[in-house]
Amino acid sequence: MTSADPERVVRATAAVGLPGVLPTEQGDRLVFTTSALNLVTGLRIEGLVQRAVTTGLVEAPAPTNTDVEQAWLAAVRRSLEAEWWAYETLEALDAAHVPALVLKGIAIAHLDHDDPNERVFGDADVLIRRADHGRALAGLTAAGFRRVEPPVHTWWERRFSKAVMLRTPSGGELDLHLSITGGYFGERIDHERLWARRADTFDLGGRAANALDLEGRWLHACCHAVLGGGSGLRALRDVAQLLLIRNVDWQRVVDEAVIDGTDAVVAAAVRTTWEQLQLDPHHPAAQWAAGHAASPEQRRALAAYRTANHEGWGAEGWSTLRALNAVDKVRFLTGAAWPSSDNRRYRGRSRGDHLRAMWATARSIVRRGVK
Amino acid sequence: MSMFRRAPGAVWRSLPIGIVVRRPGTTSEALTLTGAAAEIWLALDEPRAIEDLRRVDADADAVIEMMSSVGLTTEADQLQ
Repeated sequence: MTSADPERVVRATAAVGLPGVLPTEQGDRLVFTTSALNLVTGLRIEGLVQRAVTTGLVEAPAPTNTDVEQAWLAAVRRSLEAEWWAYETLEALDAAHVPALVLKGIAIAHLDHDDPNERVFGDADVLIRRADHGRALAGLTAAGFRRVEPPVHTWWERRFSKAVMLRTPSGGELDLHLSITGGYFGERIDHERLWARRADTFDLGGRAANALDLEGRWLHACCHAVLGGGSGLRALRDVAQLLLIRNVDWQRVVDEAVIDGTDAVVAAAVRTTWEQLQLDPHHPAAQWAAGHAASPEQRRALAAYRTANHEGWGAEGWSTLRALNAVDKVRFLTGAAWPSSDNRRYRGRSRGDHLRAMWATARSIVRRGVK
Repeated sequence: MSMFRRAPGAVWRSLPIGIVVRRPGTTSEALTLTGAAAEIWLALDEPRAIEDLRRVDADADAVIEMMSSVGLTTEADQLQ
């Protein structure tokens, strides 16, 4: 039998090289067609597609095989652009004496794949401590970086934002993270614990770049897979790659997630990864995830992120409130309700428009029971 | 004795088509190094004297000059 079902072929491709992939219909030949290639566009798994074709997991008849290779080479070139943006960022932050950790694709490609060309990416993500927010932005601005959007308020951004988006001097995209995820779970994660661990290091353009340790990278991959909204197979592959190839100490991550109240995110990431990539359910992490019951609090928060993925940031933002103490609740709401004039102008809203939009979001959330 | 090294910020990958390398500080397309240029690039994992590079390829002087002219390599002592 031959299968050219694009969705099935792409899923199999995303799992190439992983141990414990379940044999589906035995003896099927998987054929990578132009439809499958179109499906891959935007998923950023061109490196895995190339590997699947060159190792014979899937067949790609001419001229699709050439298209696959060209798509992969273009993706690697884009990845190099993003690495340059990260390099520019680290140099500027070094000059400002701000410690920084490279996140996501760049770190995972270099630290968790034997061949970094398998994991492609399109932007640079760098994490700093909230306390360094002002110094980092001053240093980056001096180096020619420009922020994309005016802050809600500087104090609000420093305390509550997940990330600040900037344009690099060469026009690239930098997400300067203050936390590894936003909303309720971003508040719950103990970031100082992540920073306290010894960073993993890799070479980036001739300089040392620091990244979260393996367990930190896995927690972040889980967050991205479940809370990232549309991150899809690429993020699920990251979860599986770090667990099955790099043998992350997943139990330690779970233990710490239980302390923080974020274990539901880890469990959901593992369940989704196993289901989508069709992996052997006997793995102990998969069995833990299958039997995991989220607390009502975590279930409400997860629902808020799902709503946010479909309808905008509002619901995720509101979910933050549940993780804040009374004083921070007031500060969060004050800033959110009265953003700076520059921020409102950027979003094309009058003060009245903004308050009406907030009110509509709040009503929608209360109606859905997502508090 | 001249010592050469890769320019800081030159990010690159080894691919079947050659070494794909992005020139630091530019917005231009990444270059693909093949043949002697690729071999010399790989030899520059640490700063190397031109005499050493001539052992990698007899035309190392010309290759290094070409790579330096497009900002991919630099003299090691210029960095100090």
